[in-house]
Order: sequence, then C-alpha cells, then structure tokens
Amino acid sequence: MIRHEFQAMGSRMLAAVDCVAAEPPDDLRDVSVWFEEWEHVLSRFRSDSELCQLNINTGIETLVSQTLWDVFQASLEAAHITNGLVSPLVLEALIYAGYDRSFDMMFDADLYSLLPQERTEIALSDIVADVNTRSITLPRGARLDFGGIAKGWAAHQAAQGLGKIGPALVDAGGDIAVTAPLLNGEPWAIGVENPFNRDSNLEVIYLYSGGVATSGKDYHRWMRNGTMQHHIIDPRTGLPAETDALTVTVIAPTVMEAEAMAKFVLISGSQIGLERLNGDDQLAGLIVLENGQCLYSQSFEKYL
Amino acid sequence: MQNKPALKSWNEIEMLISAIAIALTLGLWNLFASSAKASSATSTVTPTDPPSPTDTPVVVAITPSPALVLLPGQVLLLGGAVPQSATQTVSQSSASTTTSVQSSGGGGKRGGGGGTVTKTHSSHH
Repeated sequence: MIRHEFQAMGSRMLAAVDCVAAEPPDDLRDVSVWFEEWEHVLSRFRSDSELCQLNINTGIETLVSQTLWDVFQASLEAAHITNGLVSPLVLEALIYAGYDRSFDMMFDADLYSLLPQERTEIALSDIVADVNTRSITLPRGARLDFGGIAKGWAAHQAAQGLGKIGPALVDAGGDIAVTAPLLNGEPWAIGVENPFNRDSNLEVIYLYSGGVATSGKDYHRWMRNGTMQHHIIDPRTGLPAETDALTVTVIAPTVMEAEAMAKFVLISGSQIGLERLNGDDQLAGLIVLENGQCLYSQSFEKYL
Repeated sequence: MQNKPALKSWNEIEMLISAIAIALTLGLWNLFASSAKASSATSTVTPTDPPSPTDTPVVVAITPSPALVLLPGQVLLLGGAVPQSATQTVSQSSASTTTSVQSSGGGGKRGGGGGTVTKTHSSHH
C-alpha cells in the first residue's frame, strides 16, 4: 500500500492506494494538486475563491464551474435526504454564532462586535439554478457554504480518480471514501476516534467499499455572550443545534451520504437519529452522547 | 577721625595681589567649567539600544507533574460522565446496542486497532 499525506482544506488529508508499484503513481502525487484546485473553488475562507465570488454576486445570474456546480448539486441532495437539516444556507447563522473566520483565527473577541445581529430567512427554493447554462442566481442576502459536503465530495472524487490505479482510500479530515477491498480481498480497517481521548479509537470498523464520516461538536466550541457555541447549525432555529449527541459516525454507500446523515443524526438527537439509521439498511451508525454513552445502530455490528 | 592704615611692606602688597589673583582664577574657572559641563551634557546624549533579551536571562523553573498511576481495575476518565455498567438504551429498537466510552478502546472482532489505515473523527468544516 502506498500512502500520500498532505494538508488541505484546513485538515490533514490521506490518500492510499493498494498496488504493487514500487514508486508512488503520478495520480497519487497529484491528489494534493486536485485538492488545492477544489479548495480554490469551494473555500469560503479565501476571498478569491469562486464560491466567494458567487456569494458576492447575489441577485445576479452567475455561470459557475463544473466543480462548483457538482458540489452545489451534492449539497441539494444532502438537504433532500436530511429533510433540510443539512443546508448550504447556514452561513449567516454560522457567522452569527461567531464562526466567521478559519478556526485558527478565532477567539478575537473584538471582532464579534462586527457580527450581524439579525438573520434572514432564505429557503433553498429561492435559489435559481439553470442546468442548461450551468448558472446559479442567489437571492439577495443569501450566501452558500458547502462545509462538510465539500470535503466529502472531494474525498469521493479523489478516491474515484485513484481507483483506476487500484483499491483506494481517501480521508479528507475524517470523511473517508473507499473504492474497493484491498488486493487480498480484505476490508480496510478504519478507527473511530474516541472524542474523550483522541489518541485512542472507540471502535475499528472494516469497510470493503463506501464511505464513513463523523460529525461532532467536540472539536470546536467557543463562548459567545456567555453561551457555549459550536459549528453545527440547526437550520430550523439558525442556532447551534441543541442535541444530546456529542459525535456521530455513519457508514453509508458514499461518503457524501455518510457526511450528510452524520450531521442529520447529530442535529436531530440520538432518538430520532437512531430511528433513522435503523430504518435504512444502507446506513449504520455509532452515536456518542455527551455523557459518554455509545449507541449503536442495528447494522453497525457487521462492520466490526 | 583715624586715618586708614597704610600697607606696611611690599610683602603685604604681594600677599594681597596673590589673594586677588587666586580668587579671580577660581571664579573664572568655576564660570567656564560649569558652562562646559552643561554643553557636554547635551551633546553626549546618544540613543542606546535597548538591552537584548539575552542580556537579562529569564530562568523558569519547570515543575514535573506528578506521575499518574492507575491501580488495577481503575479507569481514567478524560471526559463525560462515569461509564454506566448497565445502560438504558435511548433507541426504541431493541436490536440497537449501547455501551459507554472507555478511556482507551477500540479493537473490534478482527484483532484490534493497531492496523488501521486511518481514523474518522469530527472536524470543523
């Protein structure tokens, strides 16, 4: 197995291919270039990104690249399968909660005075997308943020690209895509990080193909107006989700679905979330509650 | 009215001249010396570099933290609540299982977490 690790999209990335070549294939080395290109399109933290330019052009029909179009479509699909709980339109709420810059630059209390004090209600249906011209028109006041969907999409794309070389795994900051079993027929072994002790795994799951993703409010929290904030926004309230779940790991046919469903379960809470996981035999999940309890969906065991 | 006494000798005249000369010399000396001192005080003020950090070394005492020793059967809790040995499942489905987070874990049925390729975790997006 040949591995290639690099930094992109604010996270550690890993691309691994199971092949017999002595030297890393060119495509494996190019993965970091792919991510750099995607980040240049999709990042909301880079003022020169295509996404930021689209967000500036509200009210104007804007032709977009194939990458941005594809991720936009993926975000619509994520909103569809999560009944709107995962939405690319929570940027204003994120900023309102204080997540207005890359996390490395946060905790500057003075800047909070610049935050908006009111949020506007904009629905996904207010966005006009024309598949023929590949153009998007955002309503005034709307800004897109693809968040984890972009990472999941990138992991999926990269894995598909590497799959031509051999069985591939791409880990985009915890969102993991697997194309096929290892050459010896064995599954890929993937740890599920213990949110209370990051040096250890809660479980090890064995995945032949598909995707796995974890969503949680354990990594990034900050105080605002005396209240603990986190970056998982509930679109129904526009506020950080009030949930008993600390982290949620979901296994799904694709990493984009896994990412979307992990966030759905996290926002919905353990009871609704577990019901949803158990109601779909394509999904399996592990929920870690704030109090340390772990809840497993019915089909999770087959991955252990 | 008594007349002013006349000088008695040449010696007295010399003493008087010497005293006047000495007094005049000391007075002029003080006058010029003080002005020279004032002018030198203003002309010799030159900016000096602030002392570099290495000029004043800071010594920080490092106190080793006490070693943490766990007794057999003792569990180190790094967060959350005390794990419950008997847990109440939140799920309505009886087929779902529940357990609690241990400080170290992992494994699975296929031989542990030592051979994992990577791990999934939450991150900011």
